[in-house]
Amino acid sequence: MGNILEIKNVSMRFGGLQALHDVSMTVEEGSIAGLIGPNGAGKTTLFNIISGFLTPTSGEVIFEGKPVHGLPPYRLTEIGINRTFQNIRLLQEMTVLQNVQLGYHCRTRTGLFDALGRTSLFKQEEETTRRQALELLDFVGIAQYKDELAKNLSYGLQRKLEIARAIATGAKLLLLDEPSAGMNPAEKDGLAALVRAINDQLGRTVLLIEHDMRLVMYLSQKITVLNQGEKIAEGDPAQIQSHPRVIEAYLGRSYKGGERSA
Amino acid sequence: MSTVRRFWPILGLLVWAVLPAVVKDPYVIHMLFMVTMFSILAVSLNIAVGYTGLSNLSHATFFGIGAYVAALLSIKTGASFLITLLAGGLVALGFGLLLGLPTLRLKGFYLALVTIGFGQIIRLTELNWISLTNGPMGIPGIPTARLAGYEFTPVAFNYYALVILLLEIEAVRRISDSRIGRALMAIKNDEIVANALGVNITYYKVLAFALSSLFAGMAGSIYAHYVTFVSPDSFTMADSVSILCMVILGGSGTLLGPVIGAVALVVIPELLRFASLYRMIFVGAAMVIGILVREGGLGQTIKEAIGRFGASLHREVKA
Repeated sequence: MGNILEIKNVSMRFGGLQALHDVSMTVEEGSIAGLIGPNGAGKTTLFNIISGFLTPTSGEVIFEGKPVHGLPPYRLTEIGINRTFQNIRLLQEMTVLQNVQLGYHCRTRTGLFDALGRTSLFKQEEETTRRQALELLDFVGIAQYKDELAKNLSYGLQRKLEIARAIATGAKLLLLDEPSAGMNPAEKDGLAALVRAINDQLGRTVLLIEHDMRLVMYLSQKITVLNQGEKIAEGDPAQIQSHPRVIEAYLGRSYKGGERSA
Repeated sequence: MSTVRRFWPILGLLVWAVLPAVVKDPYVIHMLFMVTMFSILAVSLNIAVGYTGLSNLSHATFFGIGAYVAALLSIKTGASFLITLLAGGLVALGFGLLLGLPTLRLKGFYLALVTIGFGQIIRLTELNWISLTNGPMGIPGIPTARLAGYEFTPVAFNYYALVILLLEIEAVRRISDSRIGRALMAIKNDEIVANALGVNITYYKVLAFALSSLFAGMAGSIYAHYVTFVSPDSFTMADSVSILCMVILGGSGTLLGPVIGAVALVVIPELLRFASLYRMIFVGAAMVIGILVREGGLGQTIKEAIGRFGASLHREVKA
């Protein structure tokens, strides 16, 4: 299959800070891809560019063959890219079900007068989105909390809710920003199974930023490594694990000649 | 539980509906009307402030616009009160769009300041465009509402306003429980997420603001026919602040909270009339304490109290 996403020579500069320098990468349609790198490498900046929160200083983002950089986030959601956030962003004062129902906002059309008149279109659309939202909650395994306020969920469940909401938007490409952050090992296993299921059963392409190497190696078919705003490696998990520049970026260069003894 | 939850609003509605018919005291009837009037205003302001999270300190200005439109239209053309109701609402909505389209990108304090400025502009226009508004002297002699030859009494006005209030509450209920209501609440909760989920922020903010203004303008028309006199003094920023207090004290973002707030803030100052000069100190203190004790507003407290009451009833029935 072809590439669903192509990033071509993207650079991003904030004032004097070069956050990304000439980064190119591709994500194959139907795959799970990983994006890793030390803190400050520019991973989230790249996510912000792909999801429309930032416009790159130069370079192109191509989604399904069309350039999409510079479009606002809500347009990208309509086109088929949605994301989760590193620091979970749920609609805290709304219920779990309402959070997922909101995911369908861009796929539904009823307006003010449909809502006021309770038209048949309105009833049909509400019924459909409600049913689909409940199915999705069931899919990620939090259906029993549908009427809780989002803020009352535990951390791990909030992550699942955020993922369910992103799926609900109908995104063909899901960007997951550190989905396993703050999870214990058992929760991480659950998350891995969930990401797999999103890919296998729902057929969505997934690009994830992840710090847990075991998890990202297990899930991804292809991994891109950023360091200090530049791409330093790209390849399958085995290639990445043995790549000298990756090892250097994570562990540091080995000292030569014993200039400093530990 | 749900039957208990429905029980209190229905009881409240029954009392509200029966009181104007049985009470003979014109003062009490007037106060009842004012409670209904301010309820309409608080419920409408809640659309913008409570559901969507927009600051608005000029709600009374939209109320005034509706009242002036109704006054001029009925004096100059003899239009019926139902026509002025629509016209007052639509003109207020128009001003809502005029103010909202360029300014709703602003947030919090900045938006609040802009609305204050807008209120001052309209007030100065009302004061100085003498050929249209008769300036500070106001417009007297507005025809009262008439339906098929029947001239509305204050009691009839009570029912007229109550009907509009109920229609408004039902409209707000339907909006809040819909795709649009969820979009508004999403904007209040987190604009960035709302944007990421495909919600067109500017469109929904302007929509909320316009709807809020529409109902305020309608309230203005009802009020103009009731008092038969409008002047710039009736629609000041102090009134806007009171309406905002009603929303916050009652519980912003809840369906009936603003009504509770309106009842409290219209009735309490009247009950304290014996304390003359000092009464507003008590009202102020009551507001501060009310909000400190309960950030979610009186509505939340009452809801929970009813929940407990319902649970205890349940136990007694079982025992």
